[in-house]
Formats: sequence, structure tokens, C-alpha cells
Amino acid sequence: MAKLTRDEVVKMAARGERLAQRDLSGIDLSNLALESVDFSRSDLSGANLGGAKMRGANLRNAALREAYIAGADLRDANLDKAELDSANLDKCLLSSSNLSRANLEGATLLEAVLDKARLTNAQLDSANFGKANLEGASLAHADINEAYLGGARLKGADLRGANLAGANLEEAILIEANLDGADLTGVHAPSTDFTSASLVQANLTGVLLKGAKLGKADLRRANLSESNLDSAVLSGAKIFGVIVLKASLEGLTLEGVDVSPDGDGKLVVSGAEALRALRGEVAAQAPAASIPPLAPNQRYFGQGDLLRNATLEFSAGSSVIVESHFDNCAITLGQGTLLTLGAPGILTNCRVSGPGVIVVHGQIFDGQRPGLIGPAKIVISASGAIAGTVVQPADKTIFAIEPGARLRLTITEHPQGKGN
Amino acid sequence: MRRLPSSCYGGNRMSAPTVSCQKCGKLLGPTMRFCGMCGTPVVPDEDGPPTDIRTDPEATIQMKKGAVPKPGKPAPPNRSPARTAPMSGKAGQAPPPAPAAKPAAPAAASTAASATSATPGSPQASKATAATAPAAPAVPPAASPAAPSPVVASAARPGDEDGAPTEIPPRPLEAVSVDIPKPTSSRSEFQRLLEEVETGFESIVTPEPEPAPRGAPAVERPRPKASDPTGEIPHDLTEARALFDAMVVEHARPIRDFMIEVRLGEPLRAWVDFSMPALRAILRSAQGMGIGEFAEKIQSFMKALEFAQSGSDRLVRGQVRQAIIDTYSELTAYMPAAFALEQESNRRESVIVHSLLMQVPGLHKVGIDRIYGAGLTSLALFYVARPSDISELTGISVELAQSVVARFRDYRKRTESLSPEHNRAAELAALSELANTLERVVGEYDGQPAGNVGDAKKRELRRVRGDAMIEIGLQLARLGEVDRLREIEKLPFAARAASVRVFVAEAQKQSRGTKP
Repeated sequence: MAKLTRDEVVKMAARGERLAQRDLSGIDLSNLALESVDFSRSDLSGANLGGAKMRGANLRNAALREAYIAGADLRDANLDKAELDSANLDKCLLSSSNLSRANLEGATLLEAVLDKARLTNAQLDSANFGKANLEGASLAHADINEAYLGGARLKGADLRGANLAGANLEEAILIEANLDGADLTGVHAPSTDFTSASLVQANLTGVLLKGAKLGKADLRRANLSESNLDSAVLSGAKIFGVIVLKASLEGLTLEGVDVSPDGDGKLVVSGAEALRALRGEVAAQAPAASIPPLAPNQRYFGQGDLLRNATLEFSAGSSVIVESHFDNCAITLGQGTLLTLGAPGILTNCRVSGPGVIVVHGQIFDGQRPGLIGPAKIVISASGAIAGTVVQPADKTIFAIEPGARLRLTITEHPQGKGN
Repeated sequence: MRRLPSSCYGGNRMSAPTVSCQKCGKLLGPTMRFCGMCGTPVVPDEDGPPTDIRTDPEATIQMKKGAVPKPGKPAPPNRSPARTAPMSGKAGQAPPPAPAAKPAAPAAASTAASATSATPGSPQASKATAATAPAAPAVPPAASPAAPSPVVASAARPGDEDGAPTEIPPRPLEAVSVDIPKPTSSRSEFQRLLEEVETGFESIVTPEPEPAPRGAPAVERPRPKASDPTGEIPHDLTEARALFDAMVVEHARPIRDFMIEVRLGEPLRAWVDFSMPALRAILRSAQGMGIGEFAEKIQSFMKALEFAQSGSDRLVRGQVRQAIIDTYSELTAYMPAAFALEQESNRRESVIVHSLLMQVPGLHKVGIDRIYGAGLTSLALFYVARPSDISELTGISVELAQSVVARFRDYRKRTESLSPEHNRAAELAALSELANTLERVVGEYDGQPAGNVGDAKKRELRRVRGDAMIEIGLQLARLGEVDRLREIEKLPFAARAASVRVFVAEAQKQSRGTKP
């Protein structure tokens, strides 16, 4: 189809005609009124849409690579699966727009307005959201690696399961944001405001949280190993099961910290006691009723326990349930041994070897690679997360993965199995 | 402690009567005050702030946290009469050739004519000059004692006694005490004037001692229309003057370039030679037109430049630099359309400052906005600021502030060693190299698999691409091509590289074409 000119686009838009599946690459449509126009599947790569009025436009599956869209009005627009690699969306209005599964890799969105926008599963690697407004936006399971979110407003945003590894959140506002299960490894977040945010089971390994506000935040079972929490405020936070191995905790404010397993305020401590609880030196008492009845061949490791540098061996046919935190342990499973990692359970830097069955509802962070060697079967539920390496046995591992599971998995073949 | 000449007080600074400065240069928190022209920390006399601060309160820019211009729009480092003088064109930019004026139209319709209403020499200007005349710089007498600063001229406008800027109503050219021969309607007289103007400007593009070649490019002059049965040209002296003004605006570019270098730092003395031919040509034309007052101001400025040429210092700095600034301010006051730097300089400077800040590792939007928020918006401020001061003012870490200072010092060192003959060519060559880098990186990036999101290689390519664009922006700003930069930024990266290459080729061709 022949390329259209600016004037032709204006006329077609005025007549209410569709502009879907058109080659509009490099076209200048700046400052035009193009409300509700259908550009779906069109090629607008390198186009100039600066200041265009495109409220409610359909740009589903459109190619907008390196397009200049600064200052455009794209409120309520549909950009589902749009290709926006390296596009310029500075000061763009994108309130309530749909950017689900869109690719915004390397795009700039400085001071853009994205409140209530949908960015679920979007690719936002290295995108620049400096001082953008993302209040109430949905970024669940989005890939936000290495992105810049400095000074961004994310109040009430949904970032569940999002991958924010290496992102910069300096002075961002994440009040009441939901970051449950999010990966924030190596995030730069000095003076960031996480007040009342939910970070349950989030991976905050190696995060710079100097001077961060974490008051009333839910940090239960979050991994804050090797993080810098100097001068951070955790007053009123829920810290049951939080891991702070090798974390820097100087000048931390810990008043009225909730250490109850359910975060229901039944067990509140302050000061030195809170610090001990944070460090895992005092195990909070889990309610007796929550301990499941055990069969004779079962072993159970409950919540609040921390086991370090242990060597454990479970013979064939046995079953073990882990709801505590194992760090740097070596676990050997016999033939068919069932290792169930409960939702609160965490294995960090552990080595699990042998032809057992591993069921993961909790989290496995495998710094000592490879961590899972020769398992017969791995089942990962929706609440499970594994970041590590699986070395398959010669007859291969059976994987069962429920949607919603969070994986950063490297699967390799057993050295002896290669070439068979 | 030292007090700067009054002409230095027109720029970014903090106003606080209790400000004090130590000899060590320590900046004392949010009450710092700097000279907008040269960036030197300024300390008021014991008996209060300098006169021009009182008379021109609008020029004061609070540098306290939060009380600053919008980020990306730095505060004007200096204030000149051009800012408030009514003009038909933009100060510092070459307007299109003046249209043929109607015979009855007052000369005030032209840019320069309106600017002449604020000409020093008027009673008000003389009064203000007496109040704030700077210490005589070490230049020939003609250049200094009576030389009013831009701020003085600004404060001296009618109705401006209380310090508030006042719009000056356009006045006809005849109302100004300029030595211009009485307008005549005779064609021969007009043609003679036109020829004088043209001859003067033709010499700009030719070696000085030789007569101007007839074929040299010149501004188009009005010709008799074929439809005009009389063959008469409907002009008068007003039109000749408008044409003259337009040509001055056009040909003063090298002078503006030089003065922007002076304003941004301490350029090499070779820049003086760069602007001399244009000045000589303008002087001859002014004399030919009989505009004695303008010719005098040009001569004063030239004397300051000659003094700089005769010195042993390879840099234009100190009192020599100050004398140049002072005498130039007279030209600015007389003809802001041709000589005002504020707008052009600010546009260039804001891009340069932003580019340099973007090049500081670990400094991003939040930090940059904090820096702007503290009023650190001009090169001069970064040249004199210390890391601890920047950290204290902005709240960024001392380590980051050290990187900022180091980046600006590197830049200053780099630009100070540039000379006009060599650096333009070198800058164009660097720009060409950057375009090549950009093109190569874009090619590599486009060659990456589409689904390869988050790949380390792509991240690295994006970083190199971004760095190249920042450096291109910096170079284009240095070359005064801010508008071009703004247009280029709207293009996809491959087209940006191509556009830069086209510009470089054109500029190199032009440069070769204008060499004697």
C-alpha cells in the first residue's frame, strides 16, 4: 500500500476512515487532531506525533519505534502490544491508556502522565520514567530492568511480580504500591518512599535503601540480604520472616514493628528487640494451629526458623516441608523424596541434589550455582519463584509450572547426559 | 574581597544584604551571589549592595532552593537593554532583510531605530552613568571612563527610576541625536549611500587591504521595478538605514560568536583576530553612512580588542576581558538587534550546561533538577563552585558534586584551548565523527533480534547511542545550532546521523568558500 501524506491522513481522519495497517513511517503528524483514529497495526516508525491529539486512538500492535510522541495526548488510547522501542514520549499524556505487553525498551517518558495506565507484562527495559506520574498504574509482571524511575510517582501502583532488577528508584514515591513478589535485585532506591507499600516475598537483595521510608510497609518474607538500609525508617513495618543477611542497618528507625506471621499487629516490638527480630535472632512464634499434622516419614521446618550452613540428607520415600529460611545449606534428596517449599519458605544459596521431587510454593534464590542438581521433577506453583540453575539428570527433569510463577531459570544438561 | 565593575552585576546571583565572601572563595550556602557574566563570587560593599542592584531589582535571581527558574530554562545570565527594548526582530538573531519601508513610515519601525531610543548619551543615560561608572579598565581612554554598562543603560531608560523595566515607545530616527545627513529624495544621493554600504560589507568576505570584488556576495538591495515607468526607486534615507541595520545584524555574527566565547569563559586571544575584519567593515560602513555615534562605539570596542591583541596574555581575561565587555555593552545598547547576546547565548548555554550534566555518571533527572533548582544554571557558576558548596545547596552527594565540578572543569580546559581558525574545523570534524558513531551504533542496534529484549548488548548500544547524541547536542550548541538540534531530536536516530552529516558538509563548504 502506498505511503500516505500528512494531508491525506488529515482528510481520512476527518472522514472517520480507518488508518489501520498503513505504512506511515517517518510521517509528520505533529499537533494534529486525531482523536479515536484507528492506527492499529500501522507502521509509524520514526513518525513525528509530537503534540498530536490522539485521545482514544487505537494503536494496537502499531510500530512506533523511535517515534517522536512528546507532548502528545494519548489518554485512553489502546497501545496494546505496540512497538515503542526507543520512542520519545516525554510529557506525553497516557492516563488510563492500555500499554499491556507493549515494548517500551529504551523509550523516554520524562514527566509523562501515566496514571491508571495498564502496563502489565510490558517491556520497559532501560526506559526512562524520570518524574513520571504512574499513580494507580498497573505494572504487574512488567519487565522494568535497568529502568530509571527517579522521582516517579507510583502511589498505589500495582507492581506485583514485576522485574525491577537494576532499576533506579531514587526519590520515587511508592506509597501503598503493591510489590509483592517483585524482583528488586540491585535497585538504587535512596530516599525512596515505600510507606505502606506491600513487599511481601519481594527480592530486595543488594538494594540501596539509604534513607528510604518503609514505615508501615509489609516486608514479610522479603529478602533484603546485602542491602543498605542505613537511616531507613521501618516504623510500623511488618517484618516477619524478612532476611537481612549482610545488610547494613545503621541508624535504622524501628518503632512499633509488627513481627507477627500474619502481619495482624498481634506481636509488636520496638528498638533493640525489633532489631533482633529483624536480624532473625529472635524467632517469632508461629501459631501452633498452623503446623500441619505430620506423617511418620515427614519432616517439617516451620516459619521463623533460620538454618545456616547445614547439611541435610533425606532418604528415599521421605517427605520434607520447609516453611523456614535455609541459607547456604546442602540438601540431598533420595529417590522420590518430596521436598515441599511452603509459601513462606525460602532457600538462599542452597544446593539441593538428588533424584527427588521439588514442589515450590516459596522462593529459591540460588547464588551458589548450580543449586538444583538432578531433580526428577520440579513443580512451581503460582506463588513460587526460582532464580537459579537446574542441572538435569541424564533422563531429564520433568517441569510443571503454574501460570504466575516467577522464574529466572537456567536449565542445563547433566555433563554425563550430553550426547546421549 | 573584591568588587566587580557594575557591568558584572547583571546576571545570576543571589541577593541578600548580609552576604559575605571570604578570600578563599568559600560559598556561603544559599546566600551566594555570583556575577552572571564571569561567574565570580560577588560581595557587596560594606555600605550595601551595588547601585545597579537597587536600580534593577528584576535582574536579581534568587538562588535559594526552589526559588528558581524552570529546569531546562536557565535564568538569563545577564540582562541587557535588548531584553526590554521594543524590537521587531529577536535580539541576537539575524532577522530577514528589512522590507521596503513606506516613505512616510517612521524609522522606529525598524529594530535598530527603536533601540536607538535607549542610546547612552541621552540625558537619562548620562545620569545613570555618573552614578555607577565602573573603575577605568586598562584600555585606551576612548574605551573606558564614560562607557556605561548594559545594566546602567537599562536602568537609565525613561520611566525606569524605580528600577522597574519600562517599555520604550518607538521613536523616529530623526529624534535621536545621530549625525545623519538630511534625507534627500534625490536618487543619486541614495545610490551613493547604498554603494557605500555595499562596499563596506563586501570587504568582510575579502582580505582587508584589497578593494571589494564586485562579484562578492552581498545583501540584495532594492532594484527599480521594470513596471515602474520612471525607473525611480521609492526609497529614502530611512530605507537605507534599515538596510544598513539588517546588514550589520547579518555580518556581526563573528563578533557575537566571539563575545559569547568571552561571556562563557576566557577564550584565546586569537578570537580577537577572528572578529576584527567584520568590525572594520562595519566601521567603514557606519562612517560612510555618517552615523558618527555608532562609529565611535565601534572604535571604542576595537580599541579594547587591539589592547587585548597587543598584550602578552594568550587568553582574554582579567581587566582586558572586562574592558571588552564594557565597550561591547555600548554596542549592545545602541543596536541590540545586532549585538545583544542574551537570547542566543542563553539558548546555547542552557544546552551546553544540560549536556555536560547529562555526561556526569550517576547524575540523572532528579539530581539535575535539584541543581537547576538551586540556581546553578550557567557555566560561570559551575566554573567557580566547589563540590561541597554544590552538595550543600542541592543535596546531592559530595562525590557526585565532585564529578560535576570535574566535568565542567574539563570542558573549560578543553574550550579555552580552542582557537577560532582551528577549532571550528576541528569541531565540525568531531561532529562528523560523532555522526559516524551514531550511524554505526544504530546499524548494530537495528541488527539485533527483535525479541531480544533486555539484552546486555542492546543496553550497551543504547548507552553509546545516547552518549553520542548528548555530545552532538553539545557540539551543535557550541556552533550556535540550537534550532537545528531541536529539529534533529525529533528524527529517528539514523536520520539524525544523516542530518548532522549534511550540516557538517554544508558548514565545511561554507567555511572553505569564505576563506580569503
